[in-house]
Amino acid sequence: MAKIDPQELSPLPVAHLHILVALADGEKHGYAVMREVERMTDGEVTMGPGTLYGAIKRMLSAGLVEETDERPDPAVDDERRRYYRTTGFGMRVLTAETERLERLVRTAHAKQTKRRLQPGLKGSET
Amino acid sequence: MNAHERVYRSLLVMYPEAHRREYGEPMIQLVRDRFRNEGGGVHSVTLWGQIVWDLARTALSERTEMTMGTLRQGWWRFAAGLISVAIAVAAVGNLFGDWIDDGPRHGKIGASVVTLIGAGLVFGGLAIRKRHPARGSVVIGVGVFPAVLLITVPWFPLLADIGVLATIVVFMAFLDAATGPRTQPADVAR
Repeated sequence: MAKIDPQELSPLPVAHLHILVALADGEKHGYAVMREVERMTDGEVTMGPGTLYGAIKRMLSAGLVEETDERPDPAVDDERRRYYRTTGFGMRVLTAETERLERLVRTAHAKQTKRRLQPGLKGSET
Repeated sequence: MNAHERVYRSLLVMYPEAHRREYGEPMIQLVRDRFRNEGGGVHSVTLWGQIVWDLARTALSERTEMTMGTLRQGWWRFAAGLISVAIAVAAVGNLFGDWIDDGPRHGKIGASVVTLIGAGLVFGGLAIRKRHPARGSVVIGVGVFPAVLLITVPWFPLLADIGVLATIVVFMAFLDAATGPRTQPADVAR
């Protein structure tokens, strides 16, 4: 049986990446995912219901996340909520994407440093 | 259900029906959570601004995606249907050509009825949007076309027609592979 290389899904759409990171430490329902994304981006990204569930639909179909069977105690939480978690494949895709972004950031820093060290270049610090 | 939920529920009509059926309730739940935890006064206005912007943007993209998917599937269905018509026309034309030459036979009439029923089954299958329209066409073509030929033509033309039929079957098998459900990454990655 063929295996999908996690790098084939790279680069991930930003919403998918945010959701994968939000779910990396455990299962969450939609609102908790939205709040976690908001928290980890310092309030810069707020996902609306359409963005969140559109992304979740595509991530479910790509096998990046899955809906969990467990439902919370109705006394504690609304039992109609749906909870999601990352799959093993989703975690591998997240790792591959994180490594790609790290390489990109390193390259960007290296180029900025090089530019600063070359005073003759237009736009460099003097 | 509060007023915010009622309004949002009515706005969900902007999404395709399938999306609404699957994710409508969780989306309303999210709106309920947001207004319960973040709403109130001027914040409610801000929240509605975000929600309407999100709705307009994503409803459009969901509808576009659904339409493009339907068009892609529709193209292959059209091709499969066209080949099915060709099979039916060839078979029925062959029948009535012999009929004119030799006079009517009970077998020919029976076979023409079978052929027409076969073509009807193909289009019936297409109409209810089966996921394997071409596979249905192959089955009906393989079953009906040789049966008609056996009744209506002598052996030599039959061999030539079987060659044509084999080509059609191979083409339809290709169509079937193109239109069948795709293996989801989820199935192969776990």
